[in-house]
Amino acid sequence: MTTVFTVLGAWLTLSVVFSLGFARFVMSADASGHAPRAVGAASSQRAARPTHFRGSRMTVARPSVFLALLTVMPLIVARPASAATPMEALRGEIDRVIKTVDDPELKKEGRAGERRAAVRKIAGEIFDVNETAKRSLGRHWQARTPAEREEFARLFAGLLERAYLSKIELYQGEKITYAGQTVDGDQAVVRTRIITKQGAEIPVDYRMFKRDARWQVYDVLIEGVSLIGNYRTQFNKVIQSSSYEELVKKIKAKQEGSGT
Amino acid sequence: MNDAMMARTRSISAPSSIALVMMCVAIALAASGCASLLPRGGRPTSAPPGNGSSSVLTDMTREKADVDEHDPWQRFNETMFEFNRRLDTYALRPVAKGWKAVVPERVELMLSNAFDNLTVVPRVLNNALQAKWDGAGRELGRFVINSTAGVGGLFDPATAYLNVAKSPADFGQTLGTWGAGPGPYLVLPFMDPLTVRDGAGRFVDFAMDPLSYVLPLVPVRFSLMAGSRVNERALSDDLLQDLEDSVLDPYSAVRNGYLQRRERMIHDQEEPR
Repeated sequence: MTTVFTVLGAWLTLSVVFSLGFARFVMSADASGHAPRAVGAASSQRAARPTHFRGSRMTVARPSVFLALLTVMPLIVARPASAATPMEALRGEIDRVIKTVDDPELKKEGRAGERRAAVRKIAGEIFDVNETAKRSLGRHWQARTPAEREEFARLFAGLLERAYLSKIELYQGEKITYAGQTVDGDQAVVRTRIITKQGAEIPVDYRMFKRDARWQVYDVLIEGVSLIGNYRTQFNKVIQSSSYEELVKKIKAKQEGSGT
Repeated sequence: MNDAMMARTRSISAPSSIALVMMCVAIALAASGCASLLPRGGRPTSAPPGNGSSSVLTDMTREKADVDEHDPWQRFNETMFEFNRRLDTYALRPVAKGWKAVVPERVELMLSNAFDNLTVVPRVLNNALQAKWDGAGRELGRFVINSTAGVGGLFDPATAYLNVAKSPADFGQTLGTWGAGPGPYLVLPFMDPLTVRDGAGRFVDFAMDPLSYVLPLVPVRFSLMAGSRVNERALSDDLLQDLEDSVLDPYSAVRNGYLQRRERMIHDQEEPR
């Protein structure tokens, strides 16, 4: 129920913002500083954003109405979601994934595609792949045009999907325990463990950040290995030894190679 | 199947002695250049002042999540990496697949448990050397429980019924907790990725293990290692399947993964269980 409200609210807010011609503002904010920063930087950013809004709003015909809409809407709609801690948010989604994967109906012959689509949908709700792509490209992200960024994020999402979505289907009732969380403003780390059939505990940590009152995952650390860190090393190496274009070509080749 | 196993065993044991010699060379290198083992100044992992409270959080501009990838022997390492990769593709994986076809997964798991149970001594000692008394006690307890109630370690009642979890520890990690840096990254044939510190640690772990003195080295100990290797490869085959589809540069991906994982094993132990 709360997710429905949040999605609805986000959609409404977005449509209002876009119809007012704020699209460009939103895009530039997204590219330059929507990302979670270190704590010190984050607070100064939060302070800076409203000034931006005020400046843009001057051009709107009836600012008061939209001002009311913009400020009240997130308050009404997003409150239920923001009340959840990052761990609760994550756990809810992981439980949904497990339920889907374990669903005996979806395990039946010929429904694998459907099952994967269902998992993909849930993953899309909790994961912010854009953020992952941006951070994985690191300093090279700055040099990219908006179109290149969009293309890169899409290709990268495909790459991750092949790496991890197919692995979820190997799930055989392994236990997941939630070890704790560290919340610092709009950033958080949630620590979980997967207990394998051999009884080994594999620590899996999720780095999350709050965007529009929703906690989203942008990095996963398996046994301390950060997904972003690992891809950043690879991307750096390919770009340094050849070029960004070569990197894109390589990712595309992977996509075609696996036939998806 | 048995012939294939034997062939594999032979092929791994002979060159492994060469690997051992190389390990000694690496240790000599480490001893002569101990400075490289100590934490070096100006590591990119050190946070700027004023941000100490947010050590768990990262900032993309500082790329704090990145480990220091000190790899002065990259050309040699890349050659060895490629060699190991081919070895996996053309020898280890086919053998493991054959193994998997014959042996039920349940039995594979039992063997995996038993192999693990055998190498208890270095784990207990290293837990103790790192002052992880709880971990040392758990490993000792597990050994006693699993060797008896678990029928020589084939089963793991310690985890299943008594909730006594594993506490893996090795000497490379011990050196790390004592303050040694990883030293240069190192890839050797027939072995997992290493750093000079972890390679030296591997050697010490081997020396710590009474089995090394009781069992004849080449025929039995290495056969055990090879058997364990094949068994583990068979167990993880599903997980490793298609993984290359998502990796763009395997060498740097493995190097980064190994270094990050070791870094965590050494520095992130204080977190609540």
